[in-house]
Amino acid sequence: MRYLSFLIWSLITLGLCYLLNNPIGKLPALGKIVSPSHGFWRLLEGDLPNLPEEMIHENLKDEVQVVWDENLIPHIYAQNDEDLYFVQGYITASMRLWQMDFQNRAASGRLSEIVGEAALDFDLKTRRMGMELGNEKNFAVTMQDPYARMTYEQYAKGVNAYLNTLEEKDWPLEYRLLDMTPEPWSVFKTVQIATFAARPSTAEPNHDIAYTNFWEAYGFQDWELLYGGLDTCEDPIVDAPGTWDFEPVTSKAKALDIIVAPNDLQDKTEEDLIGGSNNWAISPKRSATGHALLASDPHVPLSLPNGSFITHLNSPNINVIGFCRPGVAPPLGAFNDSIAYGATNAQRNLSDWYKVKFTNPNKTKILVEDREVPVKRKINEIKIKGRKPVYDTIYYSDFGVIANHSELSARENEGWAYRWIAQDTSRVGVAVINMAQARNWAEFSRAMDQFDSPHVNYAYADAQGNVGIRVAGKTLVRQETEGLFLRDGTKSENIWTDYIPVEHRIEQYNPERGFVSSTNQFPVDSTYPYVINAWLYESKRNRRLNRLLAADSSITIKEMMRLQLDNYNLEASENLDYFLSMLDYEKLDPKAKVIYADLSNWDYMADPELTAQAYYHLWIVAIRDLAWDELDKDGLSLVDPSMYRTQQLLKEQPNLKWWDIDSTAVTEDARLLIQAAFEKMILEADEWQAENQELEFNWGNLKGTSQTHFTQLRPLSQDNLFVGGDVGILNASKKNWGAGNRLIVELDPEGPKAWGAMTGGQSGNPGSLWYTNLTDPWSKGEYFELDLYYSADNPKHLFISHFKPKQK
Amino acid sequence: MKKIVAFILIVVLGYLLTSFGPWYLIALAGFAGGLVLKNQWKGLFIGFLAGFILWAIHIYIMSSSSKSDLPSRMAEIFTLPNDTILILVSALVGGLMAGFGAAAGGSLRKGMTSK
Repeated sequence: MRYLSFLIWSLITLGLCYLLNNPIGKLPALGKIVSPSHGFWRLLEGDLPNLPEEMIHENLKDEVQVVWDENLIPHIYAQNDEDLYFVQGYITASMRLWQMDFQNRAASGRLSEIVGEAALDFDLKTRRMGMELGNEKNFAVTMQDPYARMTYEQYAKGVNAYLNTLEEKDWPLEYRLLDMTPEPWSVFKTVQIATFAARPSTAEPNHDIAYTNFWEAYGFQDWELLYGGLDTCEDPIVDAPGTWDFEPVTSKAKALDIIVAPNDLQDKTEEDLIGGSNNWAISPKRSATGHALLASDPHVPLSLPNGSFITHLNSPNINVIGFCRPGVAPPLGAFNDSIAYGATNAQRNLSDWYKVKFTNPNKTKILVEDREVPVKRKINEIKIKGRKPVYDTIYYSDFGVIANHSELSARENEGWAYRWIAQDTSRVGVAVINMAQARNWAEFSRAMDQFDSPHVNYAYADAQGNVGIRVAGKTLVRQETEGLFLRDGTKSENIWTDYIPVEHRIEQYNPERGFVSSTNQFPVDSTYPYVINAWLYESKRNRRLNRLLAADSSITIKEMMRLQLDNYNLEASENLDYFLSMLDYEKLDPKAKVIYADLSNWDYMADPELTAQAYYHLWIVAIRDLAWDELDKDGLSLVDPSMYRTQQLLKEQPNLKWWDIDSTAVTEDARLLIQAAFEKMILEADEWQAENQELEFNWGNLKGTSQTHFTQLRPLSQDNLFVGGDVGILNASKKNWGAGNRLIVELDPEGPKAWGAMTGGQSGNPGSLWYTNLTDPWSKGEYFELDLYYSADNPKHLFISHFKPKQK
Repeated sequence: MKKIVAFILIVVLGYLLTSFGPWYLIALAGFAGGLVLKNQWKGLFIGFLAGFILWAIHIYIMSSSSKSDLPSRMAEIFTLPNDTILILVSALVGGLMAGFGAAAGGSLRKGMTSK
């Protein structure tokens, strides 16, 4: 009995140890987080980040020096390329290990393992896209190229060398918060990240289901009116009528085969993903400096950490600074001493849905014409934290990946196949390496030939004063409206077979006008002999940008920056007068009259401190909501026509049946609709003010641009960045999207000069001062210098890391 | 005197053990202190005090040498009002662990010596 109290105290102590050393429900293991020896306190960095001072590794051949500049950009000086990529992997992991690990798990549909059932839908969807098909092919072509293989293998070894230096208590914070264990890196993981990156240009959004639903409900004529054709053909990326001198390949597909969607087949992507990237290049004849200039500001989800990590790679063979995606060695936008380049997304309709028919309940074959064609079965095991795994059966066919998207169809022995261009081979892993080392347009263009997917528009400038633009990506030969609706998966002519040959590519080099540009708009003039469609093309930024570039024959670096930060709302300038003219001024109450005056006096600048842009934004959102109220149906996936189309139709067809608002007794026309939307706007503004009493009503606060940490945890995010811009504006910063990276390069033959800006910071450690240090200058429109010749002699450098081979 | 010895023992041992081993060895340090004290209640009290103060000071040093706002971000994740409270809560964990460990140590020594 005398040991009883000892026993009790011991049990209490051990019990507490166990409780605090393991996650409980959603709470992470508290002891591992709050203790001074193992907790997050260790991750707090002082005035200097925790950087490796000296690293000796058997994998290195020679010494490598890494000079960290004042923005924590690593300048890696290696004596051979093997060492270069090894150290790049090491350095990137030291700043962004968790990010690359997490993004790879997202790309492979494994988030449920970490966050539980909440991510199951995401994982199911990801694994039903057939990315594994692309991954295997892309991995094979990457490994066939000896240099590419070396690059990615060395990079992976570098990442793993860093990982091996870590004890559990050194792991990045997020591992502890999510109870996750780091996994070693591999070339295949790099490939998975690259394939996953193809979604925004060719897979999302996909309106096949919504369009088909609409056609079913309202007929083809209405579909054409609301969605058909292009919003505007003005200012395509390459405008060179009559120069397309070749015989096009023709499509054998049946252009239109309307297949009815069962009502449980839902389009999972609802949001407009027009991100808003811009790039352009200026010939010396239009440049105030006499040298070619390049600007690139890809708009990306505003995340913390930033999606990119700026890296300077230097070896006897290479000297390049660029925006690198953690997990992928070569940069995606960059400059070396000869050339500079940057990308925008090139939207393409390159994902199709097919209805297929199984010939038996065992689902071993599908019917194609009158033949029974075998399909290959695969069972995906999706592990889920806190519960049993889910098993999802998919089938591989020539129509794509068949999965259980619809219970109703499955009962009839039917299935839905998803075909996507990223299921094909992409040599992008080789292309990005060759681009970073290209010295001229010929080499750059040849590298672009291998850029099969993702689909991007690359602007280019070089030190000899040449500029060019290339619409990159392997593209299908299509017929009008082909692939915009659900397709018949029992007809063999609908299988993807014909692709546009690379000789028929859309490309322009040194055009007469002295500049090239792209802003996610339609790629080419109407004489290009192939059908090109996508769900949405930009119709405003392209016109604004080209107008300004064409008007200025002596463009300075300052003006290049001003263009990236341009807040001019072209759409408002084209529509506001019309909207205001629909109001009956005399009948407005005094408050409405004040808003009317505010809007009438507005210079169309979407600056954050202005109220007019805030009112305008709320007004057009209300117009769109009221105009397409008929399309807001429960259980049926439909999509609103574009804002451009909405405004065009309001002006041209003021009595369209769509303008009637279902919830009112009167029959509205365009005028009444716009008036109703004006009243709705005032209500929304009042509501916002009531909910945000501590904030002033203006555009910056209403929009509330924020950067969200990948875990979605608000405390690790950065909210209410006070910035202007909006969709359709060159500075297309929305709530969660924006120009996360900005780059401007002057291609001086004596050595390029470059300026950059980014949201967040270089460090992925929330305990570092370099986690968000660049956000403020970014919000203010400031740039920092990017120096291709930055060395340890620069007095502003923060630190030098030495990497050395093991002495024999 | 014994109390002071136990206190110092827990602080020194607690710091060393958790620097090289897992964080929960703070309880083992408490246990050792408890053995010196030979009393579970004194153990609980001195252990708690030593663990709490050790962690509070250690954390305070770590966080005051950094300008990072991570402590307030973490406080927000744990829905605590501010980072000072988070330091106190963290130190509470150290106090409880060392305190319970010391109570166990004290009760064991007491059990062994009492006939």
